[in-house]
Amino acid sequence: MLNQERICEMTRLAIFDKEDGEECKPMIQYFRSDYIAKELLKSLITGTIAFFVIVGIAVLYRAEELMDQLNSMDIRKTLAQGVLCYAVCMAVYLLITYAVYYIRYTRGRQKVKKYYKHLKKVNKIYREEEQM
Amino acid sequence: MTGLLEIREKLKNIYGKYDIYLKPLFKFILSMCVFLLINGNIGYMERISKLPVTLVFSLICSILPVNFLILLSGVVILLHLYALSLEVAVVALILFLLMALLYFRFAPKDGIYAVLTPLCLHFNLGPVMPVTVGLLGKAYSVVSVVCGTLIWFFLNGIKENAAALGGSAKGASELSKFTTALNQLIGNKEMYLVILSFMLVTVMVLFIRRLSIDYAWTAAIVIGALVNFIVLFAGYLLLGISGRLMGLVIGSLVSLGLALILEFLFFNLDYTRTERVQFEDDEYYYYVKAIPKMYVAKKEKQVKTFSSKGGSRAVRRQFSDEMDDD
Repeated sequence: MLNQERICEMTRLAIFDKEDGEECKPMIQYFRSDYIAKELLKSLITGTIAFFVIVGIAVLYRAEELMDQLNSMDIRKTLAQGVLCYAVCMAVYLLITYAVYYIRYTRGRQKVKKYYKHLKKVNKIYREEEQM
Repeated sequence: MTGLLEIREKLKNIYGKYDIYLKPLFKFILSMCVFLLINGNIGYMERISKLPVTLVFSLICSILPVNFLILLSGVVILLHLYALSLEVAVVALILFLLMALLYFRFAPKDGIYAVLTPLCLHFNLGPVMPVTVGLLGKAYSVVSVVCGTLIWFFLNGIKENAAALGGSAKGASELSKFTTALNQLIGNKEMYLVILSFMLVTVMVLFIRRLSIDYAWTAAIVIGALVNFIVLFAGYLLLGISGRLMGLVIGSLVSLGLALILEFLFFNLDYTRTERVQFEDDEYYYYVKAIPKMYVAKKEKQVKTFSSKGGSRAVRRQFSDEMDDD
């Protein structure tokens, strides 16, 4: 005999799985700190690559100017400025990453809680079916 | 107005019922538009500019997720630019790479705006995108509109300077080609102006549509279109860019109309779709098709005919019986 209520609940769970399942997976697998740390690490890598790509373009764009100034340039000062610029850019980028994933984790957890509520309901129906 | 609302409900019903066919169809049309525009404007590689290739690409995109369209159109653009000149292709690759690394890592679902923005800008309907994002999206989605704007201005610049950048251009060193390609982005004041205007419009629309006033959406659209017009008009005057006024006026008016159609289609309307899911328990496999409940009733017309001659009493009695039943 088919239990309509249970099928409804199970359908809801399946729809959630299909729509938000992938997105909410990390909220079940990781603690908040681990999840954010993982994303910060990813951002550190992508941000560093992006920074060096931008620096590379800037150097190529101003190649002629730079060649002219090469002898009179204070390399140490330029390097220090570069490092400072890198630090500031990364700090901003990482801060944005932290904020985005903090909010995303909070929202994801709320969705997962709702999912568990339905899951509990299905379990309850199963138990009732067994007792009958 | 009621008739319009009914049409809207019907559209919603049709979408809910046939979304499994309509979605690929929309994606196919969008992909065709994107590839035809790319090929028509920067189709430097003849092999992939042909219609059969475009059709195959569009068909593939129609069955795969939207992000595949973004990827494929990126690859097609790079191939065309490579046929023009290696340096330009490298600049484009860097541009795409930066966008992917810095933004689309966070919001992969926003890629569609970056595809639609160049489309709208090409047809001089720029304001539609920031208004749409303001109405339907999140505040940060404006970044993808900015990405789309960057792509359009870059490709437009390349198209206009194709002769200087092409492989046959003699006397142009690799470095100068590289610099010319980059200049389409860095030295393009009009692009900065449009980006500034789009950001302002998105913020304004987002802010106004959330206000608890009557007709918040309509007010947001009108003010958004106005802000865009004023900023661009003032900007063109300040920067001394001439010959854009007519396009700006017509573009703004058409965009306003389009945005109002969008409001009509999406305001307070949830396009929940028919869901098809599969799961199993110990005894059965379930293939469930969950159809959302449509809660607005269709107009029900009942025509009662009262005959003046004979039998009217019987009809009246029948009618009163029916009323009692209700």
